Amino acid sequence: MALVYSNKRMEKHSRPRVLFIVPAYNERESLPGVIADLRQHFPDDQILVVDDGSTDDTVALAGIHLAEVVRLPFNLGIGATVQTGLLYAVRNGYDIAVQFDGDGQHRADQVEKLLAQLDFADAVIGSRFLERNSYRGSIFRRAGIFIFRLVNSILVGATITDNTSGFRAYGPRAIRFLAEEYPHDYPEPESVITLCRAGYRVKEVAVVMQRRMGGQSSIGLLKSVYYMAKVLVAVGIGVTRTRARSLQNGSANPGYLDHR
Amino acid sequence: MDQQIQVISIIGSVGVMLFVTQLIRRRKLREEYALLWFAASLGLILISVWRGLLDRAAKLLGVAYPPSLLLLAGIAMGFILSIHFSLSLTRLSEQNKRLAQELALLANRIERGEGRPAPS
Repeated sequence: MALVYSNKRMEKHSRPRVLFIVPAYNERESLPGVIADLRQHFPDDQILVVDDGSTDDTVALAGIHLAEVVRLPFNLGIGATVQTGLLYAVRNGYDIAVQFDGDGQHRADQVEKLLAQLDFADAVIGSRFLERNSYRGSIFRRAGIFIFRLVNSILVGATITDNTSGFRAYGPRAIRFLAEEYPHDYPEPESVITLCRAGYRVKEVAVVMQRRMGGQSSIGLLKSVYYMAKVLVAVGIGVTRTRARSLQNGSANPGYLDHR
Repeated sequence: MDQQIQVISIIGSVGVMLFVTQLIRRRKLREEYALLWFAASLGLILISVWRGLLDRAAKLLGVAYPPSLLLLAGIAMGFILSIHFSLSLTRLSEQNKRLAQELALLANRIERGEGRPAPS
């Protein structure tokens, strides 16, 4: 499967334009490493750091000149930050957008695994749980992941094992869709459901992730419970809406989930 | 006793009226809200001046205890207004987010010295 993609990449003209979207909020410790990692593996592709109104010197860092920087005037949250990157991708004609966290969790050597699956899906999620491994998040995170897995299976009839993963690749159709509507806080699980219900094909691939190198997790304990409730309400009500909207747009796709 | 409460409520509602008028004069209130609060303060004055009004309205609606009609009306109005403000806030924050995103993208384009976005 990967071969199909690689062949395509070798032909200069049909090579898709890839944009790496790196959302960053106060990531001065880890960001230079992340950019260097991406540059080493993808010397020719555009890296876009979307700075979510950092209060440290995130955007003045060494190595940042290797990337394009879009700086939000104030903190908008991870959802709006990623969406800004997607808007950039749409406006500048990128075919593929890879969401790649600025905290050093994600590894550039795993990106090809995601890209390879984009021939078969609109969105590919890098999963820590698809294959057995030693990853252990906090108990809250694991509880959250479990609940979303359940909600996912009920709503879209498919299991996404790692729906809080922010390591993703989007194809052109998903980019355009998400640039217009991307959920707010704790957007990862919700965007999976939104995508599926709007008829886009979502796939998971197993990836290896790093322990966090620096910076703060974007969600604390109490907050994650709060976001969880919010997302469940949003998703629960959204069920009555997304189906109708996707049919209106004519973008509905009957076989909306490939992952089995 | 009865006189006292009437005097107090008339003073109170005239005070509200003056306050609203002042806000309108200084253009601190948008017209739609100005009209609403103006009407509300007029209503308050009417009720405190014309003492029989509340009792009649209560009787007409079959409310046994007239003051509770006043409470109900107040709570209903507060509720409707809160929903209205929540809606406005949601819309405003959505627009605010979009503006910030567009601003960031524009600033980036200027830094790159680019006039137009590449055709997509």
